[in-house]
Amino acid sequence: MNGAPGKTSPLDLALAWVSMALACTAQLAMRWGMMHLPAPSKWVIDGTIASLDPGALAAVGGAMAAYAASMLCWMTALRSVPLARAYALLGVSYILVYLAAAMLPSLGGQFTPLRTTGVLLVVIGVFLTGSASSHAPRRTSGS
Amino acid sequence: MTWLLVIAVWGLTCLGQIAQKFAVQAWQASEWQSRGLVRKLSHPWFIAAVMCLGLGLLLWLLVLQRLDVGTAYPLLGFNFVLVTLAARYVFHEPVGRRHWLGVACIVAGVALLGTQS
Repeated sequence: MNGAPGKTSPLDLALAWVSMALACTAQLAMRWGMMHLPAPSKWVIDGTIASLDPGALAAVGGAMAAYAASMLCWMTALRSVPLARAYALLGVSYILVYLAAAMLPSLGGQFTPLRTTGVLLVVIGVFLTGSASSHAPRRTSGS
Repeated sequence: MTWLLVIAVWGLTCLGQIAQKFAVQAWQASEWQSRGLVRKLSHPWFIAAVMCLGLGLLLWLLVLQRLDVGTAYPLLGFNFVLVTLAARYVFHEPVGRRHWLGVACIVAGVALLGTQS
């Protein structure tokens, strides 16, 4: 994506990890918040705004801020982090969110063999496309 | 309805990522490197990216009201399929065999998760 095949700066690699952690946290917080908010069609009932759980609104608002921060860290990290490594991190985040959503009882997720297989197939696919795209423009530095 | 939302999120995220790529490329031009953060963040490609990703995020919240995040979040991996198709058929970039194998894995995984969510 970015031409110069330089070395990965440690700061950019740290930013990529921070971005991944923020994205996972944001997904879990958004899910928790949205589970505690009514469907949008029920936000206004008979011309009055339904009372919305302030904790849920705060979780969703905070998660959206975390998502924006995650995006900025990600774009900065991609200056020097090879795409293969960045995509691998993204795959790891799918696994972490799957594990957390099923283990935290308040998030309503569950492990099943078919779901686990589906998540792993997506993660393997993301790893493969990531490693393939970083090989295309032949980087001299091994990654 | 849930799947229409998921499809809309895929499309908006894909467009947002393409705009992000253009924004980062524009910032690497010499006349942009010296400019401040506020100027960089007001670049039209960056604003387009934020609008696509912002609308996608709002629709994503509605998805999370209906689906378990553990299986919904990996569905976003389908963006790699869309970006690959865009690279191949819009930007005419070469796509190798390993890349297509990855695309096939993602499609299979998303299809499997679709039957489970």
